[in-house]
Amino acid sequence: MTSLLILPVALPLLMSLLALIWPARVNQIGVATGLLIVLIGSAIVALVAGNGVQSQVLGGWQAGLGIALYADGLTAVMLLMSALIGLAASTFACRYFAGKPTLVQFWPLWLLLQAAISALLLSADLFNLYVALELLGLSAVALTALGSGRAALKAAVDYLLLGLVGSLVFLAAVVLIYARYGTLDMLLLGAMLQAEPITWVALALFTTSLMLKCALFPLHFWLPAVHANAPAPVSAALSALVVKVVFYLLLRLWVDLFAPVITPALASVLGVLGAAAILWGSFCAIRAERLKLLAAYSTIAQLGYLFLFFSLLVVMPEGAQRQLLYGALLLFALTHGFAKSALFLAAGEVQQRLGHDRIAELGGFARALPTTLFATALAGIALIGLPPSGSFLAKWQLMAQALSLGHWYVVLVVALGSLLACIYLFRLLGCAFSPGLDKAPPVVERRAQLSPVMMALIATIVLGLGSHPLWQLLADVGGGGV
Amino acid sequence: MMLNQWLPLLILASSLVPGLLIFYLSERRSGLRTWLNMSGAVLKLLLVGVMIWGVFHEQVYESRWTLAPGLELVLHADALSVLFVTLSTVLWLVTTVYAIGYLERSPCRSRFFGFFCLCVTATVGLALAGNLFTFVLFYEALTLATYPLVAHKGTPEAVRGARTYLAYTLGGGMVLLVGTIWLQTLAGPLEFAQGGILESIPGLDPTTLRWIFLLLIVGLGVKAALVPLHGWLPQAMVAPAPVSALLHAVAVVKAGAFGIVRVVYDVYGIEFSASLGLLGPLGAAAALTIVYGSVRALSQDNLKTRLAYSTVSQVSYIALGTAILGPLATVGGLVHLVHQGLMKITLFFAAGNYAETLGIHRVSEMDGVGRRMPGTTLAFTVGALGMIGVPPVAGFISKWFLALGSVEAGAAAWVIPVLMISSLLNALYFLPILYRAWFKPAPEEWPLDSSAAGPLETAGALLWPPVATAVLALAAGLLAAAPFSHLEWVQLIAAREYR
Amino acid sequence: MMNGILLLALWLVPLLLVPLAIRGNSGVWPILAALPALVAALLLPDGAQIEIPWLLLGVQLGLDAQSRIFLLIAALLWLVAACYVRAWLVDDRTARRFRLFFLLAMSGNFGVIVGQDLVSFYLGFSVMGLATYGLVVHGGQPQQRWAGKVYLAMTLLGELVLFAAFVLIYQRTGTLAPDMEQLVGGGPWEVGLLILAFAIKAGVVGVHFWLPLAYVAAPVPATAVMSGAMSKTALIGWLRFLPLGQQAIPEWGAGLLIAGSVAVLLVIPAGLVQRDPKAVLAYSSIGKMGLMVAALGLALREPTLAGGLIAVVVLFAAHHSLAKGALFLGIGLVKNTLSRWTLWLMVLPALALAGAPFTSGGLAKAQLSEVLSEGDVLWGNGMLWLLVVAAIGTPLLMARFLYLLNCVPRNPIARSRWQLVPWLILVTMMLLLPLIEDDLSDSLSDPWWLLSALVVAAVVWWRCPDPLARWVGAIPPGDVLVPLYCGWQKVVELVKGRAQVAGNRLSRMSILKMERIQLKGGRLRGLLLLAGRAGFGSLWLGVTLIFLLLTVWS
Repeated sequence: MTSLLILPVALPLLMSLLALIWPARVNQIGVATGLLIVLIGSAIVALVAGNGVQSQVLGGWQAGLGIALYADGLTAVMLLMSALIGLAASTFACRYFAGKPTLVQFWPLWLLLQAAISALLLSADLFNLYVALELLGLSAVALTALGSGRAALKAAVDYLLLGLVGSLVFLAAVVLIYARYGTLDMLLLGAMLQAEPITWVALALFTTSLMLKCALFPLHFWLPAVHANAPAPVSAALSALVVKVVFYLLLRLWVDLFAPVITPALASVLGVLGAAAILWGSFCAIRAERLKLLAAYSTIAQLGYLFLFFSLLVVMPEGAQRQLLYGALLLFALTHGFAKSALFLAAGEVQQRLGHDRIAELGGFARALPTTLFATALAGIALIGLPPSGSFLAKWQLMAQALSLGHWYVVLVVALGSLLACIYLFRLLGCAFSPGLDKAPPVVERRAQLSPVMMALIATIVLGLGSHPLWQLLADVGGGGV
Repeated sequence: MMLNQWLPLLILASSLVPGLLIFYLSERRSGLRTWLNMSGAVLKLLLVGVMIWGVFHEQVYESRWTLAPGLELVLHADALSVLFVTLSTVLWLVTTVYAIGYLERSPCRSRFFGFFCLCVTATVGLALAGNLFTFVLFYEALTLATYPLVAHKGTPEAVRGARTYLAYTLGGGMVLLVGTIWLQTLAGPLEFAQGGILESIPGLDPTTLRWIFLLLIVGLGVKAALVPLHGWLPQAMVAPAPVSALLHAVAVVKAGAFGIVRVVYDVYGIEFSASLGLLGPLGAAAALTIVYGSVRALSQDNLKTRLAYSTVSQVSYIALGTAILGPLATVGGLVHLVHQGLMKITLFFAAGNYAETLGIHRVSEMDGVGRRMPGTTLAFTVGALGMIGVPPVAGFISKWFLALGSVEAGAAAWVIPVLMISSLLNALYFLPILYRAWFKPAPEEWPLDSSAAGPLETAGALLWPPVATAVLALAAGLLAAAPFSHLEWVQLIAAREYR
Repeated sequence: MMNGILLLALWLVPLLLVPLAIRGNSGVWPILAALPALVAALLLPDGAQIEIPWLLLGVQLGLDAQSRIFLLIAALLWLVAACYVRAWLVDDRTARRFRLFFLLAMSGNFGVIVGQDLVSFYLGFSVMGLATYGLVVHGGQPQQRWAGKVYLAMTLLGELVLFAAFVLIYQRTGTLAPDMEQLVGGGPWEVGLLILAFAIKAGVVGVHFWLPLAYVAAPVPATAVMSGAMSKTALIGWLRFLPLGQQAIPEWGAGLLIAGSVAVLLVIPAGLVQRDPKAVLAYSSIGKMGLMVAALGLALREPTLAGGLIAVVVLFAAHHSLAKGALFLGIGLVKNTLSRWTLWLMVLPALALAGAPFTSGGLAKAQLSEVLSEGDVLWGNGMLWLLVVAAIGTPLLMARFLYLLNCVPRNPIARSRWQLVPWLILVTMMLLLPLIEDDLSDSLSDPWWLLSALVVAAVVWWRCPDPLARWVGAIPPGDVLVPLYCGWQKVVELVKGRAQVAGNRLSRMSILKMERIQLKGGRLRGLLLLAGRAGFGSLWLGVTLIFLLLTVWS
C-alpha cells in the first residue's frame, strides 16, 4: 500500500509525456489525470488517517540515498487539496483554452506542475526538495508565459529570474547542510542539527529563498504581475497552490529541521513581516483596478496570515493549544486555497465573457453572470473570514491563541486586515449590484462553469461546517513534528 | 428524543431550503416562488408552535455540532429565544405576503426572495444560538444576507447606503468578534445560561471584564443603532419597504438589541453586571440614544428617514430596560422587543404603501392621504400612537413596565424624565403626520396614482399586512394580562433571570 | 352579571357605534351611544363592579356613590350635546370625522368615570384627551389649528405627568386599584405629579392658558362637554387618587389653595375684557374650577374638613356642569334661532351660575360657606372672602356674557327643535338640583352681593363709559400664552442657529464616513518601484543579512 505515495508524482509525469505525444486528446487526458489524482489523494488521506504516518524509500536504497517520500496528516490533506484544485482548474481549462493554439502547450506543462507540487509535498529529502522546487518554478514560468500579450511575457521573465535566484540560494543552503552533516534526509537531519554558525547561515538562506518564492512582504513584488497576467487556471494554481506549497516547505524546515535553532525573536520577525503583508496587500488590493490584480494582492495579504500563524506556532510549547493552532493553520491554508482558486477561476470567466476584468466597469455583472457572482461572493466570504467559512474558524483560533499569549498586535492586525478585505471584496460585489453601463452587448450565461462554484462551496460550507475531522486527523496522526 | 435534536435545525431549514431553491428559480416562475415562500413561512410557524409548546412543557431542544475544538455550533431553545423566534416567524410570514405584493412586476425577484429567506434564517439562528460563538456566527451571516437586500434597487444611493450599512456592521461585527474571542479565552465556551455564567468562574479580572463588555456592546450597538453607531440606519432607508420593515422590526436592529440582552443577562448575568458597574454606562448610552434619535427624527421630511430615526430611539428602550437592575425593567425591555417590532413594521408597511400606491415619500406630501387610503392610514395611526405610548396600543405596556422598573431600581429620577421626553418628542414628530393625513385636504393630484380600479385602496397583499400587524399591536396591548400572552412569557423569563 | 355588562357597555357602546356613525349621515348614533351611560347611572347599585383580569393589565370597573353623580351629569351632558350635534352638524365631509372623535371622547370620558384601576383610568383619560383634539380643530381655520396645537401639547404633557404619577403610585402600593388607606404616605413627587397632571385638565392658573383658546375654538357642543364633563375628570382623579381626609399634605394643599384663589381673583378682569361670549364663559370656568380647586386644597390641608368639603365639591361640580353646559349650548341656540326669547331663557343658567337664591349655584355656595365657617380654620376663613369675590365677580361676568350674546349674529337653522328640547331638559335638571336639599332656605346666601353686582352691571350697560370700553380686548384669550410663545420662538431661533452650526460640525466628525475613503483605483506605485533590478538586489541582500544577523545574535 505504501507504494501509493509515489503515484501523485509519477502519474502526472507520465501523463504529461502522453499529452505531449497525443495532442488530439489532451483535454481528456488532463481531466482523467486530475480525477485519478483526486482518488489517489483521498486514498492517501484514508491511509494516513487509518495507519498513521507513511514513508517510503524508492529504489530499494537505504534512507539517505534513495528518494524518500513521507506523508503525515498535514501532507495528506495538502495533497488532497492540491488534487481537488488541480481537478477544478483542469475542467475549467478545457473550456478556457478551447479553440486556442496554446491548448496543446498548456496540458503537458500543467501536468508537470502538478507533479512538482506533489513531489514538493511528499519529499523527505532536501535535494529532492530542491529538484521539485526547480521543476515547480520552471513549469510555473512556462505556464505564465502562455498568457496573452507582452505583459505576460515580461512577468514570466521576471518570475524566471527571481525563481532561479531563489532556487540557487536554496541549493547553496542544501550544500552547506550536506557539507556539515553529511546527509540530506530530513528525518535524520532533524535529530542531528545543532546550533552553530553553519546551521544559522543555512537557516537564513533557506528562509530568505523561500520567502522570495512564496512572496512574503517585502519580497512580494513579482507576484501581482505574474498572477494577474497568467491564464486564469494557471493563476488559480499559482495563487492557491504554488505559493502555498512553498510555505509548506518553509514550515516543514522550521518545525521539523531547525526547531532547536529557532528563537522567539526570529519567529516574531516573520510574524511582523506577515502583519505588514496583510496590511500592505490589502491596501493595494483596495486600490487595484483589475479583478485579477485584486485577487493577486489578496493572495499577498492572505499569505501574511499564514506567517502570523507560523510565528505563533513555532514559539508555542507542545500541547493541546499548539495542536489547535496547527489545525487552524492548516484550515486557513485550505480555505484560502479553495477560495482563491474559485476567485481566479471566476475572474477568468468574467474576463472571457465580458472581454475585460476592470472592476469599475463590472456593473450589471450580477444579472449577466449570476453563477459566477455567486462563486465570487462565496469566495469573498471565505477570504474575508466571515462565517460560515473555514477561515473564520481559523482566524478565531488565531486570535484566541494570540490573546492568550498576549500578542495584541496579532489581534489588531487580523481585525484590521479582515476589515480591509471587506472593503476590497465588497467594492467588487457592490459594482456587481450597480446597474450595467450597457456598453458591451448583453451577456447571457448559458452553460455556467461550475468549478469555481464548487471550489467556493468547499471553502465556505464544507470547511466551515465540517472541518472538525481535520483536527482529529492531526491529533491522531501527528505531523509537522508536533 | 430525536425530534428534540432536530427541531431547531428544522426551523432553520424551513427558511433556508426555500431560499436556496428560490435562487435557482427563473424570474418568470412567480407562482412556484410564491408557493415556496409561503409554504416555508407557514411551515416555520407550525414548527415554532411545536417548539413553544415544548419549551412550555420543559422539553429541551438542542442541536450541537462541533466545528472545531472548543467551538461548537449550539442551537438551543430557551424561553428568551422562543420569544424572539416567534416574533420573527410571525412577522416574516406577514412580510413575505407584503413583499410578494410589493415587488410584483419588479426585476430580480428570485435574488430578492432568496436573500430574504436567508436573512430570516440568520435571524432565527441568532435567536436560537446557544452560545456566544454561534451568536456571532449568525450575527455575521445576517449582515451578509441583508446587504444584497439593501442594495437591491441598484441605484447609486442604494449602493451607497448598502456600503455604509456594510461598513458599520462589519466593523461592529469585528469588534464583537474580538470581544467574544477574548472572553472565550478567559472563560471557556460561553454557553448562555439564565442568570449568567461569569460570576461562577473564578479568577477573572474585573477590569478586563469591563473592557470586554465594552467591546461586546460596541459590536452589538452598531446593529442596535446606539448613538454614535447609528449612522447606517437612516442611510439604509433606500432599501425597498419590506426590507426596511424587516430590518427595523425583526432582523438587524433587533439582532443587536437581542444580543445586548443575551450578553447582559445570559453571559454576564444581570446582577454581576451591576456589581461590575456596567449597567450605568449602558443605561446612559441608551438614554442618550433615545433622546437623540427622537430629536433627529423631528427634522426629517422623508417619511422613511423619520421612521428610521424613530427606530434608533425606540430600540434603545430595550437596551434601557436591560440596563436597569430589576425584574420589572427586564419585563419592560423584553416586551418592547415584541412591541417595537409590531408597531414599527406596521409603520413601514404603511410608508411603503404610500410610496407604492400614491408615490408619496415625504411627510409634506401626505396631506389628506387618510381619506384616500383609510385602511393604511388607520394602521399607521395605531402604530404611531403606540410609539407615543398611548394606551391601549402595545407601546404603553412597555413604557409602563420600564417606568415601574426604574422606580423599583431607584433610577426613576433619570429614567422617567427620559421616557417622558421621548414620548413628547415622539408625539411631536408623529402627530403632525397624523394631522396632515387626516385633517388636511387632499391635493388635486397625487405624485403617482397606480392604484387599480379594485374595491380596495391598494392591492390586497399590500393592505392586509399592515392592518394585521396593527391589529396585533393593539391586541398585544389589550390582552397583555391575558393568560398565555407574551407578557406572561416575558415575566417568566424575567423571573428566571433573577435568582 | 347585568351590572358588569352595563359597566362595560357604557363605554364600549360609543366605541362600537363608531363604524356606524362614520358611515353617511347618521346623527342618531351619538345620541344612542350616550344612553347606556345614563341608564347605568340611574340603575346600577352602589358598589357595582366588574373585573376583567385579562384585559390590559387587569381591568377593574365600578361605580360608587360619588362617581354615580359624575356619571349621571356627564351622560346627560353628552346626550344633550349629541342631540345638539344632530341638529347643527352640516353633513359635509368633516361631519363623519367630528362624530368619530365625539364618540371616542365620549367613550374615554365614561371610561375615566368608571375605571377604577390605574390603567383603565389612564386609558380613558388619554383617549378622551386625544380625541378632543379632533373636536377642537373641527373648524379647520388657523385659529382652531393653533388652539388645537396648544391643547394637544398641554394634554400630552398632562398625560405624561399622570403616567409618571401612576407609575409611582403602583410601585408604592403594589396594586392597580389602590384604596384610600393604601394611598396614604405618598412621597412629594407622587402627590405633586398627580396634582400637576390634573391641574392641566382642570385649567388651574399657570397651566390654564390652553383652556380659553380651546373653548373658543371648539364648536359649541364640544365646548359644552369639555367644560361640563371633561374638565370634571380632573376632580374625579384627585378625589380618587389623593389621600383626602386620610392624610394632611399641607404644602400641596396650600399650593392648590393659592392657585385656586388667584384664579378666582384674576378671571374677573380677564373675563370682562373678552369680546367673544365663549371666552367669557371660559374664564368663568377657570374661576369656578379655581374655587373647587381651592376647596380641595383646603381638604388636603385639613383632613378633618375633607368629608364635608368633598361633598360640597361634588355638588358644586354637578351644578357647574349643568349650568355651564346649558350656557355654552345656549350660545348655539341663540345663534340658530331668530326669536328673541331664547336670549331671555339664557338668564336662568346665568343666574344659577351667579349664585342667585333658590338656584343650584346658590345652594352650592351656601353649603360651601357653611362647611368653611364650621371648620373655622385660618385658610377656611380666607376662603370665605374668596366666596365674596366670586359672588361679585360672577354676576359681572354673566352680565358681560349676556351682553355679548345679544350681539352675536343670528344664523337660523331648520332643526333647531333638536337643540331646544334637550337644552330645556338640561336647564330643568339644573333648576331641580336644589331640590335634593330639604331646606331650600339654605340657598339664600347673601343675595346682596349679587344684587350690588347686578346694579353695577346695569349702570355700566346704561352709560357705557368710554374709559372702560378702551380695555376691551386688552387681554387676548389664552393671556399668558402670548408673551410665553413669543419668547419661546426667540429661544428656538437662537438654539436652531447654534444647533445647525454644531450639527454640521458633528456630522463632519461622524465616525466611519466610508464615502471618504476613495475606493477608486489608482496607479500602482509604492513598492513596485523596487522591482528595478538594482533595487531588488539590494533589498534581497539586506533581508538576508538582517536575518543572518538575527539568527546569530539570538
